[in-house]
Amino acid sequence: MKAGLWNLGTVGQVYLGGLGAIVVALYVPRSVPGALVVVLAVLSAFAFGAIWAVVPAVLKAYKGVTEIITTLLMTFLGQDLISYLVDRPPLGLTGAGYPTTATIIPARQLPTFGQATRMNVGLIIAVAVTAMVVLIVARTLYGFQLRAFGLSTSTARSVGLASPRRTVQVLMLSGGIAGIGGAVEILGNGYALTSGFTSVDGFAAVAVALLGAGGGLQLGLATLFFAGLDSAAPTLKLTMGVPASIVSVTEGLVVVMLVVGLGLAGRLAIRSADGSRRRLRGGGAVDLGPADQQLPAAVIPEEPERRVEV
Amino acid sequence: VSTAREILTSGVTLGMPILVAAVGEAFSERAGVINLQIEGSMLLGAFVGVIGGKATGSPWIGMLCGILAGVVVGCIQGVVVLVLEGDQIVSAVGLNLLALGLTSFLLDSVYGGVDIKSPGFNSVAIPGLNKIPLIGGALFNQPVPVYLALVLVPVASIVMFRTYWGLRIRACGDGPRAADAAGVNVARTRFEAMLLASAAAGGAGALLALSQLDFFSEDITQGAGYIGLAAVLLGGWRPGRVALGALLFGTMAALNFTAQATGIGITPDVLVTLPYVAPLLVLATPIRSMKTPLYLGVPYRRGTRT
Repeated sequence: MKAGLWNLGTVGQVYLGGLGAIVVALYVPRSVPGALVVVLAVLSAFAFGAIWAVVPAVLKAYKGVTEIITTLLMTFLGQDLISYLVDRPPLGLTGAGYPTTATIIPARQLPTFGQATRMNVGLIIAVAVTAMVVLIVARTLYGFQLRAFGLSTSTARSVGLASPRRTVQVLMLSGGIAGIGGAVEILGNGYALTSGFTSVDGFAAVAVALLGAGGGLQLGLATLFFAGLDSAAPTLKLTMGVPASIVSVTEGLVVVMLVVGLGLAGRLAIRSADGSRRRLRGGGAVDLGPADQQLPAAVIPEEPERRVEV
Repeated sequence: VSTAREILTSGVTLGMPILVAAVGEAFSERAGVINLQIEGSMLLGAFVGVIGGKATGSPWIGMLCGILAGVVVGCIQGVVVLVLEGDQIVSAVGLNLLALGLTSFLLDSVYGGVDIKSPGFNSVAIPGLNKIPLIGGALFNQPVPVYLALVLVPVASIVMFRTYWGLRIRACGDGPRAADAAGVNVARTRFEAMLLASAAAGGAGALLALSQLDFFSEDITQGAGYIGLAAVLLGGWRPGRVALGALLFGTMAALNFTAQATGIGITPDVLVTLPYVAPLLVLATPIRSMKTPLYLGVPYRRGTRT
């Protein structure tokens, strides 16, 4: 998160985004053109994801309850909500053998690039959203304000940049973007909402965001890496008889290693700064915000790359 | 009345692991370190605890194994965060992912995906006290570790507020620079507090697996560690209140199971969310204390301005 706020609830927001997308994709009348429905579905996913971030955002902004824990708790709620909804009518399909919604008609699915791959337009959406977030954070006044907010809450507050409203806004924005991730997954890959359509992805997202803190390109590469690991899971299980959970092990290890690496890099940076040992750290003493990060959003869970399998 | 007693009884049983983890975590947060990885510590503690219990036939040894597992996770986090100065939240997320993956992987590959069973703790009634109406059966007809945990709550309170070590811990969370100037080794004190939290979390995981279920299944903790973190917030970082908060959340969880069993008429799908909704609701009310340790989550680096 760019503003020194932690959104650890991306998994829940991805779920809700998926819900937002599927509702539009299934229930908008047939007469509406497919492309328009896709756009509406993505917007709806954004709204649903954003709404899921409201509770932690308001608690953080007006009650000072740390968003780290509340976003996590909302994740569990999101999972339960989706499991509930897909398990019964009107949304759930009876007689499918497992809890799922109906499948989206082809006209409303994200088109793929040619027959051979399962790569789809979601990739473009992902790249576009990432680029947009990077641009906004790096190049606009709004992005500057966010970064100021993240670097030092107290300073930002005294110059009027930080406000409870902005906290809510930023967390909702992040939730909305995660929601788009859910839409891309549903419209481009799953085509139906099931109770476990995303799992580890959101957690990985936080890690990826940290990894990508350097900029858009790193973010993209990091996403590709984690998505590759995730997509390898089923194949591993089939071909080598290795349980899919080994992927979580690998991901967890990688995350911890990365943190170690970044920490060490930070230390070296200090040493090389000609002994002046100046480094922005923990600016807003009261706030939990780790000052030196401007993690460019939680766009990650969309993983369009996952579909590049043979 | 019998239903109320049942809810209270299983509330204490379900709340106890949360209580243990939360009280331990309160120390660490007082020292200025958030341990999101207590979820992973609990999960690994439950897994190793059950395996230890199964191998030796003794739930006590299982418990010990669980505590050790928690300490191992805490050591990793401590080294990453305090020695190598990595980010505590991201590292913790990674460790949780690792713990979930590792336990699921081992369960699948070594134990064929079947729940691992182990001998658990038996309930021991304390004669006399267990006859107190309503709460007697809930509090005084429990496995021995539950009594131990209940006794440890006031002990924790004394340690935190009446010992030099507790003072050092609080100093590291409220003013690490001043503590450092006064000769306290901030990194070391934080490490100690983290290890305490991790040991508690590992033990809590083992307790969860060995005192209620006597088995381990995939992702058995289901966010209990996060609920523990919420209890720390609710209790305002004071062991006694944190313990009460944990028991409150445990009772909410118990309400879920009991209501399902007796069929009160609320759909179970709504009730399963209670353990997560309750902390959110309670944290939204003004009853909690707002005195956050000033430097909670802020890394301390000697010789820098903060």
